[in-house]
Amino acid sequence: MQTPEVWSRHTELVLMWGCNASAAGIHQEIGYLYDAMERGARLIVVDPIVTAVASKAHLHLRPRPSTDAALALGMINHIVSRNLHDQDYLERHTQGFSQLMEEAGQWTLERTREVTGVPEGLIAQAAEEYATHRSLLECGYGHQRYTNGHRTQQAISALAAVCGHMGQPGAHCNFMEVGAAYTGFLNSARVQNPPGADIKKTRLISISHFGPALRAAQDPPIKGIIKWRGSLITQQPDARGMIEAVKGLDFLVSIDQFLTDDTDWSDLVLPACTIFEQWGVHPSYRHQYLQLQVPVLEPQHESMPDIDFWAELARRMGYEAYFPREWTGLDWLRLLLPDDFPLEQAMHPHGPVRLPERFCPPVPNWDGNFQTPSGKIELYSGVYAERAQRFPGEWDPVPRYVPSAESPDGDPERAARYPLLVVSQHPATRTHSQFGNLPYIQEIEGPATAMLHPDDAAARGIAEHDRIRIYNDRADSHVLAHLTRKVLPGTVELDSGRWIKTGGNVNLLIHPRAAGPRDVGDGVMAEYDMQLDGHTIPYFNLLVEVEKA
Amino acid sequence: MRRFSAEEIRDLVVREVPPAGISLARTPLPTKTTWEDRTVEVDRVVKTACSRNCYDTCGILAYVKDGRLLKVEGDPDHPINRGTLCVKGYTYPQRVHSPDRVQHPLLRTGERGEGKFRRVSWEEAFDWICERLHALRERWGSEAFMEYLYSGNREFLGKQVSGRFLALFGASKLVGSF
Amino acid sequence: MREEIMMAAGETMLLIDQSRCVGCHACETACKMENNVPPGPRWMEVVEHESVDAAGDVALSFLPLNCRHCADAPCIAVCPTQALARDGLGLVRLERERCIGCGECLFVCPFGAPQFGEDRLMQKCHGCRERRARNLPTACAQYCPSGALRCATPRELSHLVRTSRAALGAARAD
Repeated sequence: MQTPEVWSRHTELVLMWGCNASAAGIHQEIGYLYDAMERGARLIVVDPIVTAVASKAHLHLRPRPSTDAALALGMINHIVSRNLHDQDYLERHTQGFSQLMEEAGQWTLERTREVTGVPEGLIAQAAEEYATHRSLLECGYGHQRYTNGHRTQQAISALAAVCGHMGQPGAHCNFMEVGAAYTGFLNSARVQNPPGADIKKTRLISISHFGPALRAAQDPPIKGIIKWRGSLITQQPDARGMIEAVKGLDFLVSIDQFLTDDTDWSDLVLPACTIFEQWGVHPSYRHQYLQLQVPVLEPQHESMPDIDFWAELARRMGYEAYFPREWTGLDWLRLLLPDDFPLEQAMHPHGPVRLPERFCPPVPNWDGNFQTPSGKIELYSGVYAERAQRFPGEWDPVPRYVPSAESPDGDPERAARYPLLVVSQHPATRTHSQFGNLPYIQEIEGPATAMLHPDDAAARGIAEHDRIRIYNDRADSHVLAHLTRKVLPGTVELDSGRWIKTGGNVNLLIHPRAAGPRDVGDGVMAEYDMQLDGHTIPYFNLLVEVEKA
Repeated sequence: MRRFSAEEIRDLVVREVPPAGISLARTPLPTKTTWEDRTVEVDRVVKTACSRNCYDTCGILAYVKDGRLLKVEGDPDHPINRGTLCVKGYTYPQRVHSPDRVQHPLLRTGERGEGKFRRVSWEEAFDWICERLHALRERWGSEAFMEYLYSGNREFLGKQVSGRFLALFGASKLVGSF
Repeated sequence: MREEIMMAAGETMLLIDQSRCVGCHACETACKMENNVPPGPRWMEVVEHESVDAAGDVALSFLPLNCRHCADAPCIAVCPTQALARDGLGLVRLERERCIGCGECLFVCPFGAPQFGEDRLMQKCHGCRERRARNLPTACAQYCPSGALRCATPRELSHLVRTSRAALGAARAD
């Protein structure tokens, strides 16, 4: 990530792709975006939904959901056809431009419009403006919530490379470079693998294919789970399948702050502390500052700090030697953070601190070097070519548009029965399944509501605030209808994170399917490489029909 | 696009980005605040951070009075949130002191899915878990056990500590993202 | 840029800058936290408006709505029990002991500001009287993450609006 204090001062144009900045990460995305715009920077937003930030944009491109790779390739082709690409940068810091253009060259404005639905003039204007300004590409995660999400990001990143908009103050492609947490700053191994312990490698279970993995695991089957800091049933796709899988367990323990969908299916529920009642450290995955969490309040009621629970359980299971009784969170923090890190500088009453530059440079890739085998941006990637052999159909050495699984383009047969594609936004009022139970939030959100385009509603005899049934062959969900042109015809918006027991949960309708870089099989794995295998759940690959309830 | 030279970028970073490893705290922590349209003295104001699954990881000033979280504000010295929180962050006092919180360990009494429980002590709860972990390891082997966690609290310390226990126990390992 | 200025006599005013508001609702929960308002009454509510232009392009705008503390306040005029009055800071002050919950104020308020809670008596934004007296911005202004709500003196706000207009003009001329 290029740090926002830098890009906001230097960029001339922000291209915000798949990023509802007005709802998520509002300080970083809106605050610094406005700083840039007050300096005169232009804003282009790519998002099928009319979000608040899209309404602030000079140009708003609304591709049909999951066709973003086609849009990026069409923009690349237009830029190159107008000779607006950066030939010098391409020659010095990239490889595979000609192979990229063999693919991108097929994406005429006309074909791009046919696939994405974005008018040709708008594609051309956005491409030309992006290429001719000092442009920052700020990527959210909206476009990656499909089975073709990794290909889409490959195409969007290539767009930045073709223009040479990389590694320069105000010109970079900001995507999930995940920050210091994952770049070796934390001494995770030192905590997890204590010296002298006999630790064996065990099998791996994919969180993005968790329900199927629970059902598939053999020798041994999964029989006991302690579940904490996550909503198993609310947030995994195919909630019913998840419940079936949970039924097969000998025991499920939930550590929770509230009685959730998960606790209903648990044998033992333990009271969790909030973030104000325990120690912690959270290096952001999108900025470069660190602050330690200290206990602000006593644990409320009988709740127990998470690390106290695990340490006590471990001691009772016979691992006293590795969990000194006198250790507080601060001792564990000292073990986790680098020895030379000035911990007290990041802790009340001090802090935050900026993380060391070697873990998160403010202007990454300024020297044109990249962490690839060639040290260049690989528009044609040998690594991807090799993986394309190992995992057929998942990868390509160059970015391509491949229709995503459960979408009108990708599964026309299913779309004939269930013609509407569901996009699940993360609303400003919730973090996944959290906060929605609080009265202050509920009065803002109101009852569970889905957005329907007026044309789709009219075709089904649905009026504003009608109670509707959203369904497919897996399940149904009952919500109120909100008729709005914020969504494209043929799409429905149903927020993620609503609890099943209080209604409007979208995940009931979703097929359990891991998306992205590699096929995870049944979810039980022997090997996992976070950089290359990182996969997701294609939450937006969801076709439904809607009727008046 | 004119490209900045390496020297220019180096100078610009020094100028525009604070140095690493040094506290950015500048504003003295307050001792009082306003609440219900009057000025109130608080017991203490504590700097901490929000660890939801969100880019911002906002710095928080937590106002404590009579053992309760009275108010939260954004840390004015945090370069990202620059003094403000969000619609969710401002509900933390309501969340922390919600009457709906799970207040003590609960053991299931009804059928699974019914949500019927009885109150038990922590002692009973630990005994219950340990008994089942031993039986599970005996019958199925340690890989029949695992944790499930994701980003409900995206703080990093807790999962390292659970990870140490799970590694020692030999549990199946949860990986990946979604 | 479109902004509305909430007149509150006394030292400071609240600038509501619709060009910056993204409808995040942070001011609503901030106001509730600051004033310990129970669920139900909403002293501040951000409303969304969806518009479609001739070309079919859709855009959203947002307006945070609280009591505007009007200079010529219709609520004061219609209140049959004199529960509403202008105070020394120029804010429209409610004496709840006098309120009978008749709702006349709600019927005449152009902003829907009067709220009614469990006791069915009127309540509303008091304008953060204590904070203003201490020279602090209103809670909604201090806690707004997008800079859409700003509290300052009329002179400062006037300058702010003029400066951003000039910047916008310069950006358009590019």
